[in-house]
Amino acid sequence: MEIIKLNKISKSYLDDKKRLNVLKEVNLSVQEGEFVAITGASGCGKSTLLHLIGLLDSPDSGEIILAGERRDSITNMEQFRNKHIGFIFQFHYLLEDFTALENVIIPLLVQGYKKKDAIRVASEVIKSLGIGERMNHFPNQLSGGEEQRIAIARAIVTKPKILVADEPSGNLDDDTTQTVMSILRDLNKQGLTIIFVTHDLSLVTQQDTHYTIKDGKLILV
Amino acid sequence: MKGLLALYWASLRRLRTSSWGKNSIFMILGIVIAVSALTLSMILFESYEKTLYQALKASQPDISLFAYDTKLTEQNRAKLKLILDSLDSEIKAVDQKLQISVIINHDNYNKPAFIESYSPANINYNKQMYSFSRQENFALNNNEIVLGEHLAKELKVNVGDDVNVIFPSSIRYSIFGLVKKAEKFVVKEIDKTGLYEIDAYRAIVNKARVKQLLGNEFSGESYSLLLNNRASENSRMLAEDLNYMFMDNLLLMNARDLFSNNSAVFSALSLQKLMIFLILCIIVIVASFNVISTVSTIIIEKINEIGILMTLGLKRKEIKLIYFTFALILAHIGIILGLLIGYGVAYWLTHQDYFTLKGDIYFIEKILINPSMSMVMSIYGVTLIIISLTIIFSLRSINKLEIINIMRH
Repeated sequence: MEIIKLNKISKSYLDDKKRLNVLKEVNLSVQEGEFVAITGASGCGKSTLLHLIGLLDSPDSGEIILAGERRDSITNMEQFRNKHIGFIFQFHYLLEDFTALENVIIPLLVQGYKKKDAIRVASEVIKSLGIGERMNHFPNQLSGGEEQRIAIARAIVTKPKILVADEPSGNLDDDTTQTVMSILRDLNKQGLTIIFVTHDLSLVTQQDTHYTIKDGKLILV
Repeated sequence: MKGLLALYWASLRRLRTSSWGKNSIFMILGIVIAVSALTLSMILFESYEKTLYQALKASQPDISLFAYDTKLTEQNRAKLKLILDSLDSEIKAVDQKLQISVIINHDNYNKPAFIESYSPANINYNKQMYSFSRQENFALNNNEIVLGEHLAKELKVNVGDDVNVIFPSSIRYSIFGLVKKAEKFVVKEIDKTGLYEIDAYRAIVNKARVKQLLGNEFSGESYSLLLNNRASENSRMLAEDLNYMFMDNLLLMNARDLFSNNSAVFSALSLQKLMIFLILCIIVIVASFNVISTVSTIIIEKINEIGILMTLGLKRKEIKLIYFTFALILAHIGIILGLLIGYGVAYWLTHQDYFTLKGDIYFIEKILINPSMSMVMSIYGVTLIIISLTIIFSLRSINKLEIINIMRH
């Protein structure tokens, strides 16, 4: 089943009075359960494409269809994001004033879960990622890898259909990168659609649907 | 949303180590200073007003009646009795007052004073107006006098001492020198009403003796009334009724209630209180600039948190509600602390003996702390409204944040 569809998406930015056409009539079709890797040089538009898919930004032209719904027809964008899309960024962006567990329950509380139920669900997810004993620690008490795993737990705790990962290993050492990548691949095996942006080609495997962006065009590798 | 608010609420217990705590210390401090200054001033002002009112009530009758003629005719006295009898249910006691201006002497000390008559038989009136008369078997003999506390202090007399009462109107020059009429009295009691004007000038002498001293001189006939219900509204209304009755009966008398007798003092106090309140509200507004700067700093520091909350599905207005609630809770800490500190300082100021008010300027020397709940609530309400508006104003910047710019940041 096609879960993401982009039709002739264009996006440009104004940079010092000069308009930069970052994406030019990009087409993309992603099936449910697919692992899509997007690579390209720095500033080529990888993150822009990811932000468009994640409904964090709007295109200048073209059509985006996510989980069968056209972007234009989604009335409550925040709710849609909360329900269908999980995000992981290069920096974990964990909320400093909350413990790891509290960070993970936030999307569930937004959905209206009772705190007790949210804690139960979040604890299971954190444990499944192998950091159950660290769930009551604050972000500044966690290592970089642990922080990123908590960020992944927060992204998947609501069981979204799509996981959008923007350079998730960009700030990690090699060992931790491998751990994070193996978690993402495990999640993908469980049926989660992952759109993954990186500049590190070594992280892309042959099983992945690999695209690269060049001159504003999305090219299947 | 409720759950998320509860999560933020629970994080308050870690305020000391959280980024909110670090940033909000100066915001809370500013609010504490402003609110405590406002509370202190308002409590002192209101307590001063109440203490003054209590002192006035303790030393002055509810209604005073003055005859325009120096002395009423027997016919007019009968008319007055009829009028007062018709108000029997409202009037608790009536006392005819005789007053003489005198100079009181003790050793080398002389003080101007006025003597007020004391009717031994008028128990209801005396027990209400003179605390010393509440003593069991109290009697004031013809040669005894009661002096106000400050008057006694300035004359350096104690109970049992002799004083000379000199009548200025009797002073004559003769070929033998200065002739003056003086009477000797023994100080029976020292009276304290709390009102400086009374305690520094009033002496009380048995009415029969005052009549004797006055002889044919009569400076003016006056009566003091005490009411059953001593509410100020009652005395004002009854004084008006009495004035109408005097007019109807062609009786040349005037009735004035306690408030009318002291209206200048009370209107000056009310005006001052309002002005102080407005000035101090400006201090709260200045403190609220501190709130703007703190909340703006917090928004800048928490820009990533705002971005991540948006990606997790929160709307801007929900984020603003969370931050508003959080900032308001912190502001509340400042408001409550400010109220407590203001009350504490006011309590200390009114219970210490290092600094006292000058009775001749402020009428009273000691304020009895007595803040009303409505005053405390109005300080709380006004500061809360000002600070809430300030927080809302500061949080408007969240509207301008674009999620995509935040995540790039």
